[in-house]
Amino acid sequence: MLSSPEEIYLAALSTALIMLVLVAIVIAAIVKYQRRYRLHMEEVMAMKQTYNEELLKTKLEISEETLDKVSNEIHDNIGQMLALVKINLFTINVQDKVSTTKKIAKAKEVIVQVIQDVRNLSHTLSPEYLSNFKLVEWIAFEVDLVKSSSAMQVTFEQVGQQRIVDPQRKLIIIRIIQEGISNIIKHAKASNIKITIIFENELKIELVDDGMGFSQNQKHTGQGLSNMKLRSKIIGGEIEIQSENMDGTSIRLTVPYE
Amino acid sequence: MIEASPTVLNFVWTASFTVMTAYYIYLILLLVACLLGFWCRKSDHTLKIIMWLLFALVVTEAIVYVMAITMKLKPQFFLLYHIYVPIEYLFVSLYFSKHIAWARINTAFYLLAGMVVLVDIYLSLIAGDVFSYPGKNLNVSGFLIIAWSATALFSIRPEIDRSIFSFPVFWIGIGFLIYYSGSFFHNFIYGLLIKSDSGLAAKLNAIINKGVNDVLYICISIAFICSHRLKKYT
Repeated sequence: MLSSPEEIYLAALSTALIMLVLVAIVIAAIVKYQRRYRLHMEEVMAMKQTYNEELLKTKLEISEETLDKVSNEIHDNIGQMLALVKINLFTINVQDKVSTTKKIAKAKEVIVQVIQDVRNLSHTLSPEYLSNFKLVEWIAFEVDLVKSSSAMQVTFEQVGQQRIVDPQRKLIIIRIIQEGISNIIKHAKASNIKITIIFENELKIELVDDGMGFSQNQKHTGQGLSNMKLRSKIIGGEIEIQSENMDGTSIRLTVPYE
Repeated sequence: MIEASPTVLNFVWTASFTVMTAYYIYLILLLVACLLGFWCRKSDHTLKIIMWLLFALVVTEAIVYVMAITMKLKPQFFLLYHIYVPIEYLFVSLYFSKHIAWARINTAFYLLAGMVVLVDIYLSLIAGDVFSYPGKNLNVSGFLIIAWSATALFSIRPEIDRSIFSFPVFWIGIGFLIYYSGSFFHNFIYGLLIKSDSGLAAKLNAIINKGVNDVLYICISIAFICSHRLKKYT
Protein backbone atom coordinates (compact mmCIF):
# COMPACT_ATOMS: atom_id res chain seq x y z
CA MET A 1 0.00 0.00 0.00
CA LEU A 2 1.07 3.56 -0.45
CA SER A 3 2.60 4.84 2.75
CA SER A 4 0.59 8.04 3.26
CA PRO A 5 -2.50 9.91 1.95
CA GLU A 6 -0.16 12.58 0.54
CA GLU A 7 1.48 9.93 -1.68
CA ILE A 8 -1.92 8.63 -2.84
CA TYR A 9 -2.94 12.21 -3.59
CA LEU A 10 0.34 12.80 -5.47
CA ALA A 11 -0.04 9.55 -7.44
CA ALA A 12 -3.62 10.36 -8.45
CA LEU A 13 -2.68 13.92 -9.35
CA SER A 14 0.31 12.88 -11.45
CA THR A 15 -1.80 10.25 -13.28
CA ALA A 16 -4.49 12.80 -14.07
CA LEU A 17 -1.85 15.29 -15.19
CA ILE A 18 -0.10 12.76 -17.46
CA MET A 19 -3.43 11.76 -19.02
CA LEU A 20 -4.38 15.39 -19.56
CA VAL A 21 -1.03 16.21 -21.20
CA LEU A 22 -1.31 13.09 -23.40
CA VAL A 23 -4.83 13.91 -24.55
CA ALA A 24 -3.81 17.54 -25.16
CA ILE A 25 -0.80 16.48 -27.27
CA VAL A 26 -2.87 14.08 -29.38
CA ILE A 27 -5.71 16.57 -29.91
CA ALA A 28 -3.26 19.36 -30.76
CA ALA A 29 -1.44 17.10 -33.25
CA ILE A 30 -4.73 16.13 -34.93
CA VAL A 31 -5.91 19.77 -35.08
CA LYS A 32 -2.56 20.87 -36.50
CA TYR A 33 -2.67 18.12 -39.11
CA GLN A 34 -6.21 19.12 -40.11
CA ARG A 35 -5.14 22.76 -40.48
CA ARG A 36 -2.09 21.83 -42.57
CA TYR A 37 -4.21 19.42 -44.60
CA ARG A 38 -6.71 22.22 -45.41
CA LEU A 39 -3.89 24.55 -46.48
CA HIS A 40 -2.28 21.77 -48.50
CA MET A 41 -5.59 21.03 -50.26
CA GLU A 42 -6.03 24.73 -51.06
CA GLU A 43 -2.56 24.79 -52.60
CA VAL A 44 -3.27 21.62 -54.57
CA MET A 45 -6.58 23.05 -55.84
CA ALA A 46 -4.84 26.30 -56.86
CA MET A 47 -2.15 24.31 -58.68
CA LYS A 48 -4.79 22.19 -60.42
CA GLN A 49 -6.60 25.34 -61.51
CA THR A 50 -3.36 26.85 -62.86
CA TYR A 51 -2.61 23.56 -64.61
CA ASN A 52 -6.05 23.43 -66.25
CA GLU A 53 -5.87 27.08 -67.29
CA GLU A 54 -2.39 26.55 -68.76
CA LEU A 55 -3.57 23.41 -70.52
CA LEU A 56 -6.49 25.23 -72.10
CA LYS A 57 -4.21 28.10 -73.11
CA THR A 58 -1.74 25.61 -74.56
CA LYS A 59 -4.46 23.89 -76.60
CA LEU A 60 -5.61 27.25 -77.97
CA GLU A 61 -2.05 28.27 -78.82
CA ILE A 62 -1.38 24.96 -80.55
CA SER A 63 -4.57 25.46 -82.59
CA GLU A 64 -3.50 29.01 -83.47
CA GLU A 65 -0.01 27.83 -84.37
CA THR A 66 -1.49 25.08 -86.55
CA LEU A 67 -3.87 27.51 -88.27
CA ASP A 68 -0.98 29.89 -88.85
CA LYS A 69 1.09 27.11 -90.41
CA VAL A 70 -1.86 25.96 -92.52
CA SER A 71 -2.43 29.53 -93.73
CA ASN A 72 1.27 29.82 -94.70
CA GLU A 73 1.14 26.42 -96.36
CA ILE A 74 -1.94 27.40 -98.41
CA HIS A 75 -0.38 30.72 -99.39
CA ASP A 76 3.18 29.58 -100.05
CA ASN A 77 2.73 26.08 -101.37
CA ILE A 78 -0.77 25.28 -102.55
CA GLY A 79 -1.35 28.82 -103.82
CA GLN A 80 1.89 28.69 -105.80
CA MET A 81 1.12 25.29 -107.26
CA LEU A 82 -2.41 26.30 -108.28
CA ALA A 83 -0.96 29.47 -109.84
CA LEU A 84 1.39 27.22 -111.81
CA VAL A 85 -1.59 25.12 -112.98
CA LYS A 86 -3.42 28.30 -113.91
CA ILE A 87 -0.46 29.57 -115.95
CA ASN A 88 -0.12 26.21 -117.66
CA LEU A 89 -3.80 26.00 -118.54
CA PHE A 90 -4.11 29.67 -119.54
CA THR A 91 -1.16 29.53 -121.88
CA ILE A 92 -2.37 26.48 -123.80
CA ASN A 93 -2.26 26.97 -127.52
CA VAL A 94 -4.53 24.35 -129.07
CA GLN A 95 -2.67 24.65 -132.37
CA ASP A 96 0.54 23.44 -130.74
CA LYS A 97 -0.40 19.90 -129.78
CA VAL A 98 3.00 18.90 -128.35
CA SER A 99 3.21 21.92 -126.05
CA THR A 100 -0.44 21.50 -125.01
CA THR A 101 0.09 17.85 -124.09
CA LYS A 102 3.15 18.79 -122.02
CA LYS A 103 1.31 21.59 -120.21
CA ILE A 104 -1.73 19.41 -119.45
CA ALA A 105 0.54 16.65 -118.17
CA LYS A 106 2.36 19.17 -115.94
CA ALA A 107 -0.96 20.57 -114.70
CA LYS A 108 -2.18 17.04 -113.90
CA GLU A 109 1.02 16.30 -112.00
CA VAL A 110 0.73 19.50 -109.96
CA ILE A 111 -2.98 18.91 -109.28
CA VAL A 112 -2.18 15.43 -107.91
CA GLN A 113 0.45 17.00 -105.64
CA VAL A 114 -2.02 19.72 -104.55
CA ILE A 115 -4.63 17.07 -103.70
CA GLN A 116 -2.05 15.19 -101.61
CA ASP A 117 -0.99 18.42 -99.82
CA VAL A 118 -4.60 19.41 -99.13
CA ARG A 119 -5.25 15.95 -97.71
CA ASN A 120 -2.22 16.28 -95.43
CA LEU A 121 -3.35 19.73 -94.35
CA SER A 122 -6.86 18.52 -93.55
CA HIS A 123 -5.28 15.92 -91.25
CA THR A 124 -3.32 18.67 -89.54
CA LEU A 125 -6.54 20.58 -88.86
CA SER A 126 -8.12 17.61 -87.12
CA PRO A 127 -7.55 17.82 -83.33
CA GLU A 128 -7.33 14.02 -82.93
CA TYR A 129 -4.79 13.62 -85.70
CA LEU A 130 -1.89 15.31 -83.92
CA SER A 131 -2.84 14.23 -80.42
CA ASN A 132 -2.73 10.61 -81.57
CA PHE A 133 0.89 11.13 -82.51
CA LYS A 134 3.52 9.86 -80.10
CA LEU A 135 5.87 12.54 -78.83
CA VAL A 136 8.71 11.65 -81.23
CA GLU A 137 6.35 11.60 -84.25
CA TRP A 138 4.89 14.95 -83.26
CA ILE A 139 8.32 16.56 -82.87
CA ALA A 140 9.32 15.07 -86.25
CA PHE A 141 6.15 16.61 -87.74
CA GLU A 142 7.07 20.02 -86.26
CA VAL A 143 10.60 19.65 -87.60
CA ASP A 144 9.24 18.92 -91.10
CA LEU A 145 7.04 22.00 -90.92
CA VAL A 146 10.03 24.19 -89.97
CA LYS A 147 12.13 22.64 -92.71
CA SER A 148 9.49 23.29 -95.34
CA SER A 149 8.79 26.88 -94.29
CA SER A 150 12.27 28.22 -93.55
CA ALA A 151 15.80 28.06 -94.84
CA MET A 152 17.10 26.64 -91.57
CA GLN A 153 18.73 23.23 -91.31
CA VAL A 154 16.92 21.29 -88.62
CA THR A 155 18.17 17.96 -87.32
CA PHE A 156 16.23 15.75 -84.96
CA GLU A 157 17.71 12.89 -82.96
CA GLN A 158 16.16 10.36 -80.60
CA VAL A 159 18.23 8.72 -77.84
CA GLY A 160 16.80 5.72 -75.99
CA GLN A 161 13.59 3.84 -76.52
CA GLN A 162 10.44 5.93 -76.73
CA ARG A 163 8.25 5.85 -73.63
CA ILE A 164 4.60 6.77 -73.26
CA VAL A 165 4.02 10.33 -72.09
CA ASP A 166 0.72 11.43 -70.56
CA PRO A 167 -1.38 13.15 -73.35
CA GLN A 168 -1.83 16.45 -71.46
CA ARG A 169 1.85 16.51 -70.56
CA LYS A 170 2.68 15.80 -74.21
CA LEU A 171 0.63 18.83 -75.31
CA ILE A 172 2.52 21.12 -72.95
CA ILE A 173 5.90 19.67 -73.98
CA ILE A 174 5.07 20.21 -77.66
CA ARG A 175 4.04 23.79 -76.90
CA ILE A 176 7.35 24.41 -75.12
CA ILE A 177 9.22 23.04 -78.15
CA GLN A 178 7.09 25.14 -80.54
CA GLU A 179 7.79 28.22 -78.41
CA GLY A 180 11.52 27.42 -78.44
CA ILE A 181 11.60 26.93 -82.21
CA SER A 182 9.51 30.06 -82.73
CA ASN A 183 11.96 32.08 -80.58
CA ILE A 184 14.89 30.77 -82.62
CA ILE A 185 13.18 31.65 -85.91
CA LYS A 186 12.18 35.12 -84.73
CA HIS A 187 15.24 36.25 -82.78
CA ALA A 188 18.26 33.96 -83.09
CA LYS A 189 19.17 34.44 -86.76
CA ALA A 190 20.40 30.86 -86.67
CA SER A 191 21.13 28.65 -89.63
CA ASN A 192 21.10 25.32 -87.77
CA ILE A 193 18.85 23.90 -85.09
CA LYS A 194 19.48 20.58 -83.41
CA ILE A 195 16.66 18.94 -81.44
CA THR A 196 17.47 15.91 -79.30
CA ILE A 197 14.99 13.87 -77.31
CA ILE A 198 16.48 11.59 -74.64
CA PHE A 199 14.46 8.85 -72.93
CA GLU A 200 16.20 8.13 -69.63
CA ASN A 201 14.82 7.99 -66.09
CA GLU A 202 13.34 11.35 -66.96
CA LEU A 203 12.48 12.77 -70.34
CA LYS A 204 15.07 15.23 -71.61
CA ILE A 205 14.70 17.49 -74.63
CA GLU A 206 17.48 19.73 -75.95
CA LEU A 207 17.14 22.54 -78.46
CA VAL A 208 20.48 23.91 -79.60
CA ASP A 209 20.98 26.64 -82.20
CA ASP A 210 24.01 28.40 -83.65
CA GLY A 211 22.41 31.83 -83.67
CA MET A 212 23.42 35.13 -82.15
CA GLY A 213 22.49 34.10 -78.61
CA PHE A 214 21.97 36.60 -75.83
CA SER A 215 23.70 37.73 -72.69
CA GLN A 216 22.30 36.32 -69.43
CA ASN A 217 21.97 39.92 -68.16
CA GLN A 218 19.99 40.97 -71.20
CA LYS A 219 16.43 41.97 -70.32
CA HIS A 220 13.71 40.06 -72.14
CA THR A 221 10.55 41.93 -72.93
CA GLY A 222 8.73 39.01 -74.57
CA GLN A 223 6.72 36.28 -72.83
CA GLY A 224 8.42 33.38 -74.64
CA LEU A 225 11.04 32.31 -72.09
CA SER A 226 8.86 32.96 -69.04
CA ASN A 227 6.01 30.97 -70.66
CA MET A 228 8.37 28.07 -71.28
CA LYS A 229 9.57 28.17 -67.66
CA LEU A 230 6.02 28.37 -66.26
CA ARG A 231 4.86 25.48 -68.43
CA SER A 232 7.78 23.26 -67.50
CA LYS A 233 7.09 24.03 -63.83
CA ILE A 234 3.42 23.02 -63.98
CA ILE A 235 4.33 19.60 -65.34
CA GLY A 236 6.95 19.17 -62.62
CA GLY A 237 9.84 19.79 -64.99
CA GLU A 238 12.82 22.09 -65.14
CA ILE A 239 14.16 24.21 -67.93
CA GLU A 240 17.77 25.29 -68.25
CA ILE A 241 18.74 27.97 -70.74
CA GLN A 242 22.38 28.63 -71.61
CA SER A 243 23.38 31.37 -73.96
CA GLU A 244 26.25 33.71 -74.70
CA ASN A 245 26.39 36.64 -77.08
CA MET A 246 27.15 35.39 -80.63
CA ASP A 247 27.55 31.83 -79.37
CA GLY A 248 24.13 30.26 -79.85
CA THR A 249 21.60 29.12 -77.30
CA SER A 250 20.83 25.79 -75.76
CA ILE A 251 17.57 24.98 -74.01
CA ARG A 252 17.38 21.82 -71.90
CA LEU A 253 14.02 20.62 -70.68
CA THR A 254 13.81 17.83 -68.11
CA VAL A 255 10.38 16.39 -67.33
CA PRO A 256 9.22 13.36 -65.33
CA TYR A 257 7.06 10.91 -67.32
CA GLU A 258 4.08 11.11 -64.95
CA MET B 1 4.23 -24.49 10.71
CA ILE B 2 2.13 -21.46 10.03
CA GLU B 3 -0.81 -22.23 7.79
CA ALA B 4 -1.88 -19.57 5.34
CA SER B 5 -5.45 -18.34 5.68
CA PRO B 6 -7.85 -18.77 2.67
CA THR B 7 -7.97 -14.97 2.17
CA VAL B 8 -4.19 -14.73 1.89
CA LEU B 9 -4.07 -17.77 -0.44
CA ASN B 10 -6.80 -16.28 -2.58
CA PHE B 11 -4.91 -12.99 -2.84
CA VAL B 12 -1.63 -14.70 -3.72
CA TRP B 13 -3.37 -16.90 -6.33
CA THR B 14 -5.20 -13.90 -7.83
CA ALA B 15 -2.02 -11.83 -7.84
CA SER B 16 0.06 -14.55 -9.52
CA PHE B 17 -2.77 -15.31 -11.98
CA THR B 18 -3.00 -11.60 -12.89
CA VAL B 19 0.77 -11.27 -13.23
CA MET B 20 1.22 -14.37 -15.38
CA THR B 21 -1.88 -13.72 -17.53
CA ALA B 22 -0.74 -10.15 -18.13
CA TYR B 23 2.75 -11.46 -18.94
CA TYR B 24 1.48 -13.96 -21.52
CA ILE B 25 -0.90 -11.42 -23.08
CA TYR B 26 2.09 -9.06 -23.33
CA LEU B 27 4.24 -11.76 -24.99
CA ILE B 28 1.48 -12.67 -27.47
CA LEU B 29 0.92 -9.04 -28.45
CA LEU B 30 4.68 -8.53 -28.84
CA LEU B 31 4.95 -11.60 -31.08
CA VAL B 32 1.95 -10.53 -33.15
CA ALA B 33 3.44 -7.03 -33.63
CA CYS B 34 6.82 -8.55 -34.57
CA LEU B 35 5.28 -10.99 -37.06
CA LEU B 36 3.17 -8.21 -38.58
CA GLY B 37 6.38 -6.17 -38.87
CA PHE B 38 8.02 -8.88 -40.95
CA TRP B 39 4.90 -9.78 -42.94
CA CYS B 40 3.43 -6.35 -43.80
CA ARG B 41 4.57 -4.33 -46.80
CA LYS B 42 6.35 -1.15 -45.77
CA SER B 43 4.96 2.06 -47.26
CA ASP B 44 8.00 3.81 -45.78
CA HIS B 45 11.32 2.09 -45.24
CA THR B 46 11.83 3.62 -41.78
CA LEU B 47 9.35 1.07 -40.42
CA LYS B 48 12.10 -1.52 -40.78
CA ILE B 49 13.76 0.18 -37.78
CA ILE B 50 10.71 -0.65 -35.65
CA MET B 51 10.59 -4.15 -37.14
CA TRP B 52 14.19 -4.89 -36.04
CA LEU B 53 13.56 -3.24 -32.66
CA LEU B 54 10.68 -5.65 -32.06
CA PHE B 55 12.88 -8.53 -33.15
CA ALA B 56 15.55 -7.42 -30.64
CA LEU B 57 12.86 -7.28 -27.94
CA VAL B 58 11.53 -10.73 -28.81
CA VAL B 59 15.07 -12.13 -28.48
CA THR B 60 15.52 -10.27 -25.15
CA GLU B 61 12.19 -11.55 -23.81
CA ALA B 62 12.99 -15.10 -24.92
CA ILE B 63 16.26 -14.99 -22.97
CA VAL B 64 14.47 -13.38 -19.99
CA TYR B 65 11.83 -16.13 -20.11
CA VAL B 66 14.48 -18.84 -20.03
CA MET B 67 16.41 -17.08 -17.25
CA ALA B 68 13.45 -16.11 -15.07
CA ILE B 69 10.95 -18.95 -15.58
CA THR B 70 13.11 -21.97 -16.44
CA MET B 71 16.43 -21.25 -14.71
CA LYS B 72 14.89 -19.17 -11.89
CA LEU B 73 17.65 -16.55 -12.24
CA LYS B 74 15.21 -13.92 -11.05
CA PRO B 75 17.14 -10.73 -10.31
CA GLN B 76 19.87 -11.47 -12.90
CA PHE B 77 17.57 -11.19 -15.90
CA PHE B 78 17.22 -7.43 -15.24
CA LEU B 79 20.72 -7.10 -16.71
CA LEU B 80 19.23 -7.74 -20.17
CA TYR B 81 16.82 -4.82 -19.75
CA HIS B 82 19.77 -2.56 -18.83
CA ILE B 83 21.29 -3.48 -22.21
CA TYR B 84 17.97 -3.28 -24.05
CA VAL B 85 16.91 0.22 -22.83
CA PRO B 86 19.67 2.25 -24.62
CA ILE B 87 19.26 0.06 -27.74
CA GLU B 88 15.54 0.81 -27.73
CA TYR B 89 16.24 4.52 -27.33
CA LEU B 90 18.62 4.47 -30.33
CA PHE B 91 16.15 2.64 -32.58
CA VAL B 92 13.11 4.68 -31.58
CA SER B 93 14.84 8.07 -31.75
CA LEU B 94 16.38 7.11 -35.12
CA TYR B 95 12.88 6.23 -36.38
CA PHE B 96 11.38 9.52 -35.19
CA SER B 97 14.34 11.60 -36.41
CA LYS B 98 13.63 10.29 -39.93
CA HIS B 99 10.10 11.69 -39.68
CA ILE B 100 10.99 15.17 -38.47
CA ALA B 101 11.85 17.48 -41.34
CA TRP B 102 14.15 19.86 -39.51
CA ALA B 103 17.73 20.23 -40.62
CA ARG B 104 19.18 20.18 -37.09
CA ILE B 105 17.38 17.03 -36.04
CA ASN B 106 20.13 14.69 -37.21
CA THR B 107 22.74 16.57 -35.17
CA ALA B 108 20.42 16.46 -32.14
CA PHE B 109 19.89 12.75 -32.72
CA TYR B 110 23.63 11.94 -32.68
CA LEU B 111 24.34 14.20 -29.67
CA LEU B 112 21.44 12.87 -27.60
CA ALA B 113 22.13 9.26 -28.56
CA GLY B 114 25.69 9.53 -27.21
CA MET B 115 24.49 11.28 -24.06
CA VAL B 116 21.70 8.78 -23.35
CA VAL B 117 24.06 5.82 -23.74
CA LEU B 118 26.56 7.43 -21.35
CA VAL B 119 23.86 8.31 -18.79
CA ASP B 120 22.43 4.77 -19.02
CA ILE B 121 25.88 3.26 -18.42
CA TYR B 122 26.35 5.58 -15.43
CA LEU B 123 22.90 4.75 -14.00
CA SER B 124 23.36 1.00 -14.52
CA LEU B 125 26.95 0.53 -13.39
CA ILE B 126 27.73 3.40 -11.01
CA ALA B 127 24.56 4.95 -9.59
CA GLY B 128 22.41 1.81 -9.64
CA ASP B 129 22.41 -1.96 -9.76
CA VAL B 130 22.40 -3.95 -13.00
CA PHE B 131 20.34 -6.69 -11.32
CA SER B 132 17.44 -4.39 -10.49
CA TYR B 133 14.64 -2.97 -12.60
CA PRO B 134 16.13 -0.15 -14.81
CA GLY B 135 13.46 2.40 -13.85
CA LYS B 136 15.76 5.44 -13.91
CA ASN B 137 17.21 4.44 -17.29
CA LEU B 138 13.67 4.12 -18.65
CA ASN B 139 12.77 7.54 -17.23
CA VAL B 140 15.76 9.21 -18.93
CA SER B 141 15.16 7.68 -22.36
CA GLY B 142 11.39 7.93 -21.85
CA PHE B 143 11.54 11.66 -21.29
CA LEU B 144 13.45 12.13 -24.57
CA ILE B 145 11.32 9.66 -26.53
CA ILE B 146 8.18 11.51 -25.41
CA ALA B 147 9.75 14.68 -26.82
CA TRP B 148 10.73 12.86 -30.05
CA SER B 149 7.29 11.30 -30.54
CA ALA B 150 5.40 14.54 -29.76
CA THR B 151 7.61 16.41 -32.27
CA ALA B 152 7.07 13.67 -34.85
CA LEU B 153 3.29 13.84 -34.32
CA PHE B 154 3.36 17.57 -35.04
CA SER B 155 5.59 17.07 -38.09
CA ILE B 156 3.31 14.76 -40.08
CA ARG B 157 3.11 16.25 -43.56
CA PRO B 158 -0.39 16.20 -45.03
CA GLU B 159 -1.06 14.15 -48.14
CA ILE B 160 -4.09 14.19 -50.44
CA ASP B 161 -6.98 11.96 -49.32
CA ARG B 162 -5.10 10.73 -46.25
CA SER B 163 -6.35 11.14 -42.74
CA ILE B 164 -3.81 11.45 -39.92
CA PHE B 165 -4.96 8.02 -38.68
CA SER B 166 -3.60 6.32 -41.80
CA PHE B 167 0.01 7.38 -41.08
CA PRO B 168 2.07 4.65 -39.35
CA VAL B 169 4.13 7.34 -37.57
CA PHE B 170 0.94 8.63 -35.89
CA TRP B 171 0.23 5.24 -34.28
CA ILE B 172 3.84 4.65 -33.34
CA GLY B 173 4.02 8.16 -31.85
CA ILE B 174 0.82 7.62 -29.85
CA GLY B 175 2.04 4.17 -28.74
CA PHE B 176 5.33 5.47 -27.36
CA LEU B 177 3.64 8.51 -25.77
CA ILE B 178 1.25 6.24 -23.87
CA TYR B 179 3.95 3.71 -23.04
CA TYR B 180 6.46 6.15 -21.60
CA SER B 181 3.84 8.30 -19.83
CA GLY B 182 2.53 5.12 -18.21
CA SER B 183 6.09 4.07 -17.47
CA PHE B 184 6.77 7.32 -15.57
CA PHE B 185 3.70 6.74 -13.44
CA HIS B 186 4.50 3.05 -13.00
CA ASN B 187 8.09 3.69 -11.95
CA PHE B 188 6.93 6.28 -9.43
CA ILE B 189 4.25 4.06 -7.84
CA TYR B 190 6.35 0.88 -8.12
CA GLY B 191 9.22 2.58 -6.28
CA LEU B 192 6.89 3.55 -3.44
CA LEU B 193 5.03 0.22 -3.25
CA ILE B 194 7.91 -2.23 -3.53
CA LYS B 195 9.11 -1.24 -0.03
CA SER B 196 5.74 -1.62 1.69
CA ASP B 197 3.81 -4.25 -0.32
CA SER B 198 5.72 -6.26 -2.92
CA GLY B 199 2.66 -8.39 -3.86
CA LEU B 200 0.62 -5.36 -4.71
CA ALA B 201 3.64 -3.85 -6.48
CA ALA B 202 3.84 -6.96 -8.72
CA LYS B 203 0.10 -6.80 -9.40
CA LEU B 204 0.29 -3.11 -10.20
CA ASN B 205 3.29 -3.80 -12.43
CA ALA B 206 1.21 -6.37 -14.29
CA ILE B 207 -1.65 -3.94 -14.75
CA ILE B 208 0.18 -0.69 -15.52
CA ASN B 209 3.51 -1.71 -17.04
CA LYS B 210 2.24 -4.65 -19.03
CA GLY B 211 -0.92 -2.68 -19.84
CA VAL B 212 0.96 0.24 -21.42
CA ASN B 213 3.23 -2.28 -23.19
CA ASP B 214 0.11 -3.94 -24.61
CA VAL B 215 -1.15 -0.57 -25.84
CA LEU B 216 2.24 0.10 -27.44
CA TYR B 217 2.29 -3.20 -29.35
CA ILE B 218 -1.33 -2.78 -30.43
CA CYS B 219 -0.44 0.70 -31.75
CA ILE B 220 2.66 -0.67 -33.53
CA SER B 221 0.55 -3.48 -35.05
CA ILE B 222 -1.98 -0.88 -36.30
CA ALA B 223 0.95 1.10 -37.78
CA PHE B 224 2.15 -1.97 -39.70
CA ILE B 225 -1.39 -2.66 -40.94
CA CYS B 226 -1.75 0.99 -42.07
CA SER B 227 1.58 0.71 -43.87
CA HIS B 228 0.50 -2.53 -45.56
CA ARG B 229 -2.81 -1.05 -46.77
CA LEU B 230 -1.06 2.08 -47.97
CA LYS B 231 1.54 0.11 -49.94
CA LYS B 232 -1.09 -2.26 -51.32
CA TYR B 233 -3.43 0.41 -52.66
CA THR B 234 -0.86 2.84 -54.06
